[in-house]
Amino acid sequence: MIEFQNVCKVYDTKNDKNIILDNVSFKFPEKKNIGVLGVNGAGKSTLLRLVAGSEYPNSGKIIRKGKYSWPLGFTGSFHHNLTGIENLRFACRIYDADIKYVTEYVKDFAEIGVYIDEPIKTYSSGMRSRLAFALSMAIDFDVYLVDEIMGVGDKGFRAKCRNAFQEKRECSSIIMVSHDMNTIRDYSDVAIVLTGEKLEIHEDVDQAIDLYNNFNS
Amino acid sequence: MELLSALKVQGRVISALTLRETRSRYGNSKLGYFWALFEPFAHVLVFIGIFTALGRAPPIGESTGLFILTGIMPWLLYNNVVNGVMGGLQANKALLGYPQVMPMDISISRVLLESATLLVVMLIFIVIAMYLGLSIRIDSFLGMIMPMGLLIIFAMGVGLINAAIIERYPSYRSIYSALSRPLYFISGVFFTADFLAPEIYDYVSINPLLHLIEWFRTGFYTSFNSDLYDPKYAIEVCVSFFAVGLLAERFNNKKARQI
Repeated sequence: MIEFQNVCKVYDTKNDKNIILDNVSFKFPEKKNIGVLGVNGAGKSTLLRLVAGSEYPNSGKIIRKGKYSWPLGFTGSFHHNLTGIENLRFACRIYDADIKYVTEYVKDFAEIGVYIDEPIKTYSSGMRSRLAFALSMAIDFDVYLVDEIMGVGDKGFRAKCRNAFQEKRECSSIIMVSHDMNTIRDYSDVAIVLTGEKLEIHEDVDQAIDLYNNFNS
Repeated sequence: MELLSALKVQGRVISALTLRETRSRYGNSKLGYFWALFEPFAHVLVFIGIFTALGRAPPIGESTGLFILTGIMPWLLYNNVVNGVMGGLQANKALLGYPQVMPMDISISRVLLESATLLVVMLIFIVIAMYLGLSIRIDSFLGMIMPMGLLIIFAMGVGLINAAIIERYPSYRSIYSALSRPLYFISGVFFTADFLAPEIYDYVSINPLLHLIEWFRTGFYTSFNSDLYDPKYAIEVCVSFFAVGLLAERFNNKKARQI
């Protein structure tokens, strides 16, 4: 369960303010896979970080029940000077997960080979997202917050992601941001459009995508 | 119940961070260990050289090395904790992506690591000194632990205040390091307060570090009892800095999460 109550989120830019959310009260639908749509710079990634709790709103309240993942994105939580395995161990420790099990799972799933012992800064963005995704799949969450990373990787890897999610479907859901409309269509039951500093929910994902395309053109 | 589980999470985060800090300091190269031992040793060597060249005897005891060591260890503890806390957030910002990692946890883990390192180094030096045949009779353990504890609190306070200022004004980092350099010379690392000229005594004795180092030496040496150190003053200053540091952290913490 996640609910925004009068949430405002503003970034100060040099000469101006960039308003992302303006006094938004919003209840996210439960147990549904949600795709978040919005034009570039509307604040989709910010929204995900607010949901995760890794960023705070300027005002208002965010009520969260259940276990939410950290925002799984290209940059995110990995420490660049630490190796993949060190980052993995850190995540296991703070989420109280079994290091041995997670290591095996990730080695098998992420397909990054010997790079697991190299610092994250040597990774390509594809490798980073594979590691982030595999790591989060190895730890059980109620809601996975996925920022863009599902669109990457080859066909085989995408199929793997899809299967991993199918297995978790019973007890987990996903909130995702993607520029790739096929991925959104693929995963989401409902869509949220972030526009004009508000959140709008659309039960019909295709309709939301059409709306988004109109915005974009 | 909620508080208990929150504390559990915080405990896990702090221990994970401390492990990670230790690894990145000492895990990948032997240089980390070497530096931890060499730095105080280098200070001691320099001052043995100076004292010998000037033909001066150490103000307390027979060993110049031991005298400098009892000054440099508290100084390094202060300095390393301040620098650790000051740079901790910048160096670990990525980890704030995990919602349960709080900026304060990063600071605490750095304080733990720096203090533990200095404590171990000090024990090593005391063992070496004993092995070299210096007779060490520690006057009062409590008299050593109290000032060291206050030093950690004081340094953490200063570090948190600095971190909050740096967050707003990044150039403050170099201003602080310029300001803190003279502090080394007026904190009693290589003199005792008896040697201070009366004209400057009142000014220099404002410095809490001087009080703490004098206090520490009073606890260490049987033959030394400093007139300068005032436990009440030292406690007041250290606790005040710590409190202001915590307040600064509260503001800074919110800002760190608002990017």
